[in-house]
Amino acid sequence: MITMQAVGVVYPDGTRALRGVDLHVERGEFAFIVGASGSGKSTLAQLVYRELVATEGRVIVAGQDVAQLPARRVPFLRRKVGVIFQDFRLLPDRTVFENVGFALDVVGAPRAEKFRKVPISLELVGLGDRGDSFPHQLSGGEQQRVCIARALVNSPPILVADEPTGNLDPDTSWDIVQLLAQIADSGTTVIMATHDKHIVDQLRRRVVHLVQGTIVRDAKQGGSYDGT
Amino acid sequence: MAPRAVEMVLAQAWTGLRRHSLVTLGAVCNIAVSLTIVGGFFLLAANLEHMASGLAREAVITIELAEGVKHDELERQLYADTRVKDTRYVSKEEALKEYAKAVNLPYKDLAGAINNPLPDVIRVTVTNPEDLAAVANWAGRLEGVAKVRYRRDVAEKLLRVATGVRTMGLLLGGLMAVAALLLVSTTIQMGVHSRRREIRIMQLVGATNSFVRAPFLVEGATEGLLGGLLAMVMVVGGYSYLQARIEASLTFVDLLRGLDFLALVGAGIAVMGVGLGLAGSLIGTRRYLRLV
Repeated sequence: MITMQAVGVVYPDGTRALRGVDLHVERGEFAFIVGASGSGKSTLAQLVYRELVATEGRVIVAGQDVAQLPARRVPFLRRKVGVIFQDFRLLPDRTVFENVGFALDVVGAPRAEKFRKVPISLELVGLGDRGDSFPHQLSGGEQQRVCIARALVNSPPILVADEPTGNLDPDTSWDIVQLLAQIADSGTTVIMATHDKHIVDQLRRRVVHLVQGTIVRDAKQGGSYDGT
Repeated sequence: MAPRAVEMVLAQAWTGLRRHSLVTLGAVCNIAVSLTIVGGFFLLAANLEHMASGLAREAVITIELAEGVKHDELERQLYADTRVKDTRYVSKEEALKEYAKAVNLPYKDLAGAINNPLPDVIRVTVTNPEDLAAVANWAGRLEGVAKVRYRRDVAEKLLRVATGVRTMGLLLGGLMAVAALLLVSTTIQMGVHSRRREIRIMQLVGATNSFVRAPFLVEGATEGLLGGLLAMVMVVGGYSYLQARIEASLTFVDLLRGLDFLALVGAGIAVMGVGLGLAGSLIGTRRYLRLV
């Protein structure tokens, strides 16, 4: 589903973020990308939803060579990649229902589709009854669930999570990660960048460890944060 | 675009127009003023040209007589020329009467108020307007002739004035139009700024560039249309009013008129307004919207 071959990223200011990254993630796989701050986790995540374009090597997402993608096709790639963030990025003046529906609105989906899909998506993240609430009325964990519901409402084959638990307490973090693991088990490819050792060690899934922009370890199954 | 997408775009544009309503109003007024200037100068120039062409068609030469010259002899000489169709002597008193009628004042008041400055003249009608200049030249050399005027002369002067007016209108209007463009693009910039979170999310969930951009274009076009309509009311209304006033008091002035003509001018102004608004928002979105 996601393939990177000898990928390197050098920012315009000359900073090198990634070097010689080879990575392949299968359909329905769940992979942690771990490493210290500045190790290139976010950069790698951004390559997948083409917020960034690799300066070296090839990135293939859902069968598409991202570098070959003309700019006007980028939005259509993004519809195949749901993204969630540490800071949730919800619209404060809209209800939970409208926040999730927003992802359908902006791709021009008919209203009927919105009223059919949004409740399903909210149900999936356990917020079936909070559609009329506003983001500020929700806890951090609930807000992140709304964000996940929005990322999933278009049924993308890939979900990219960039430090999704960075603002959450440990128990809530664990709930969110379990939810993401469930989503992966139902066939969605999930990539999660994190430096939360605790949840990585608890979940025991694939772990890709980055140090200064290079993959130093790729534990396929039952991985832990530091390889112990 | 799907109907749902059109609905989304229009809703966003409407919110955008209301969000910065004062700046929007400023942009609308700016467009209105610039188009009023352009429209006003255009009408002025068009009328001058219209009058000029009317004058140029009249093949009449006015010959002013020197003080105390008898007109009969001169008239005979002029009439003898084959190119001359007709001659008519107009005394200074008659000329003043004509003028009084044209400006709608009682002759008695006028004659009493001023020492008649008009000369005695002979009006010479030429068979072929082509010969105007030649006949005028020849007549100017005859004895007892003080001065020769013919209307092509005046027409050419009017045309030069019209060109000047037109250039001035384009210059002034153009300057205002540039200001209008910048103001529209500023309202767009403010819209982009206050919606940057929303736009960011739109781009992340796969909104196309045209979908992100469309509300701003609709916003700009609406500002342009409103400004254009305002200018249209001012120009067409103002012109109709002035036309009525001028034709009531200065009967010799022949102005462009007609519903067709005014409708065309009005439609032109409205279209230019929409164009200005669209151009402004194109500039604004190009400069401030970070598209993927």
